[in-house]
Amino acid sequence: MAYNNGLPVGYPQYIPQQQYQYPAQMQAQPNQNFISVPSEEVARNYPVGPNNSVMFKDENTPYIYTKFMPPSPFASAVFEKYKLVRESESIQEPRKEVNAIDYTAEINKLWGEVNVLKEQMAKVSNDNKGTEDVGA
Amino acid sequence: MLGLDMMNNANDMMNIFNQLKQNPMQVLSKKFNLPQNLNMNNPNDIIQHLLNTGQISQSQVNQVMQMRNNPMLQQLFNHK
Repeated sequence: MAYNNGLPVGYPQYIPQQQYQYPAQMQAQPNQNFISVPSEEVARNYPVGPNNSVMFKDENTPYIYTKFMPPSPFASAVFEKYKLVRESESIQEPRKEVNAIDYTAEINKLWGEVNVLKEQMAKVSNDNKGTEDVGA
Repeated sequence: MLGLDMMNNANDMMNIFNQLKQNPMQVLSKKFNLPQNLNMNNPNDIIQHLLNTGQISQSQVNQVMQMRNNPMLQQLFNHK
């Protein structure tokens, strides 16, 4: 029988849990996509190269900023500001209009009247044709 | 001969170091071709110029700016 570490091969091996020390580099890294800024002014003055854009997260207010520098050296930077709005977690049903009036019945009634009028007009037109023939 | 070259290089390095110590902005201006009318008191202006001339990249700027927010580095700079 083959042995491994004093235990038969195939026997569940005990692997002592090591206390793993995470090096500083593996600690939580700041989000590389957003640059944290203390204020809007800092974001506005942030250096951005031509044809580059940078996104910022305001540390003190619920705003996100974006700054885009066009490729042309003579163009000004495009700065945009977005407000973060928290949405409620509960599923909201679509709002029903309380005072909505259903006009379907009235519309159908009007169509009915229109059809009656059409028939009457057709009948009158036929009667007139008959009279004209007689007159000629 | 190799020893003389090494001595010359060491002298050059000492000269540069001394210049850097006395007037760092002048040395950096010369190295990075910074224009005279650039506001040397505003780091953002300097960085913007370096970006415009392609001497540094946006990602490098972002990395450095993020490093400034690192509390360990802040402590290091404040400690001096």
